[in-house]
Amino acid sequence: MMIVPLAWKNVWRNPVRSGVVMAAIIVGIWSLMFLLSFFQGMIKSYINTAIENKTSHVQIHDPKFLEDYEIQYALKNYTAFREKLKETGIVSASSPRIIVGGLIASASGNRGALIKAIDPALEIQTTGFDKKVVVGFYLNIEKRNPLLMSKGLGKKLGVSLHQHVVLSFQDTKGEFVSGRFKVVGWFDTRNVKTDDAMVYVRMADLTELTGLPVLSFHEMAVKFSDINFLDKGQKKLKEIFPNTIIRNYKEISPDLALYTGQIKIALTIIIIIIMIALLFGIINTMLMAVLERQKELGMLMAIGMNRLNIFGMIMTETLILCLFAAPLGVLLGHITVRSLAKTGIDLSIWSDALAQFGMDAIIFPYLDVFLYRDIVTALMITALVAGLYPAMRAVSTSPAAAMRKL
Amino acid sequence: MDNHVVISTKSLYKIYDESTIPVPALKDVNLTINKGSFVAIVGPSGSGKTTLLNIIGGLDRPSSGKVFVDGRELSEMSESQLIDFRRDHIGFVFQSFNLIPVLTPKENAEFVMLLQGRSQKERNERIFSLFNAVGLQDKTNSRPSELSGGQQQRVAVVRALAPKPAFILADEPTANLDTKTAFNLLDIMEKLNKEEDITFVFSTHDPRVMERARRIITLVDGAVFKDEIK
Repeated sequence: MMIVPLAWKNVWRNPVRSGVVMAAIIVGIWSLMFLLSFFQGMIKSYINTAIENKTSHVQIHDPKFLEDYEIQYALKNYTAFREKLKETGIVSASSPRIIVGGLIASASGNRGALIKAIDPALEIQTTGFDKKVVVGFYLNIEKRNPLLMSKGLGKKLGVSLHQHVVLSFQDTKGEFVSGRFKVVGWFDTRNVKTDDAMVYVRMADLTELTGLPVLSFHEMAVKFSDINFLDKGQKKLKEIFPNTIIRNYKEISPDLALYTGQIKIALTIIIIIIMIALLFGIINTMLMAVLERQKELGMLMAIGMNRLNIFGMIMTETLILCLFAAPLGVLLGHITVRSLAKTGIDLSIWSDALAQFGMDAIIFPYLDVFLYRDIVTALMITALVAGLYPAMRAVSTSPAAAMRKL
Repeated sequence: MDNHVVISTKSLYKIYDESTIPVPALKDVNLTINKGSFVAIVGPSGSGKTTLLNIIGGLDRPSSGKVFVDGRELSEMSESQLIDFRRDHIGFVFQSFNLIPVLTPKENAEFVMLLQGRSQKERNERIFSLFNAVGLQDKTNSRPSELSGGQQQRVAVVRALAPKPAFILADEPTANLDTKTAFNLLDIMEKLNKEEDITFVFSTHDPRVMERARRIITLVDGAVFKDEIK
């Protein structure tokens, strides 16, 4: 029918007004895409930082070890364990760890700390931990009992690089054992809270002190070749290692799920606010267009245009405004997100604050494909809702009343 | 002119604000208008001309009484039936032309035919013959704003005639036109009335229209004061 061409011509009857509302829609979509991509980038950065530095994709433990972190609940023969992981075809790296709660003492103080003993070469493959050493050396140096700690912990203990500290903990028999370690470097994973509560040593140096058999481990950090293998991989590993507990990064760090959940709620609120603003903008414009044309609408009804046609015409005008503006807004948003995804948004001036939350100082905006669809869908729903009231006002026009004014 | 009755009213009353202070607009109007008539409804302001036209045109409903158009009683029709009835049986010409400003004269003229679902061939044949009849064959693709008042009113006449209605209702069609243009429009309407047997019903104050009308119905205070056939 002629509804669409007529609606199209009506939209351009007042190009300035239509242009303003289209500009508002374009800016609304652009800002929505920018904000969503920024927050998604933050979530991704937070999760990636956590996966890289803390959790990996999944971790494998003896179920009893997780109850109280008792030293004797270790898994055996990590070499054979890693072979089996490799055979799955989806594991790109794995690294065993011994984890002991103990005391770290220096000449001027002591603190409780979690002692993580790692295989330096394997850890590099899983977490790239060598890159987190900001001053000094990584643990693969030819020195006796090297130890890494954060600069913050060093400050609290009053130790400097190349100084010695003593690690004390209970061995498998419940005896107190101690070892002297040399601080060879400061590490920084951009998460102050966990960094200051942890020290890293070599497995080879700690195993003997713990009394555990050689190649024993408490934790196996596993990284898949693709994060999309997470669910499938976790299921597969549960079949291969039935007597262990296998947790993914969300289960290991519930704060990740909490944080991402909060961000998603914030994003939903932002979407709603922007859509409400657009809703009222569109209603205002369309209502003005309808009220201005009441005589004409009455005349159209008088000559035989039925209410459904009038309703359809106003709704079509609203949709045309949005259909015209939406692709431009999406294109502008897409270009912005794409270019910022390459360069990143540098928030270095707040790097310390961001580090507190385990986030990088450079945020790389990122937008899921499904969010493009969601934004356009939300806009179309907004347009339909916005068109309803003006369209209803239009059909309520009385042709007789309009005739009296003609 | 044949004796086929196009419009008839029986004991037509229209009272506004019935719930508060009743204002009678029409009182016991009984009329019969045959096909091919050229009728002017005249009377002073407030005499009920427009109200009568609105009721005959199915735009308003009477407080009591009956209106028959082409043998069908309008008051029995629902709102949507009335809209369809208007589209198919009644052509409207308004005082201030009221073309759709975003459409060309041709698009304006074929608008109602499009609503009726007529084919493009049928539309084109009808529209171009009517544009020829009103002498606007070279203005079919102009903008309404580019046309003079008289030309716009002629396009409005074409729009009203295009769907082949039972009759044309014209509310003060010459009120906004200068004398020359008004005569020109009346010539066209008279020609269409005589040659195509199209019924025209005008409300008017304009003596130029009254002069041409073959029947003049005078309303005073909502009642038919005089009904003279020339």
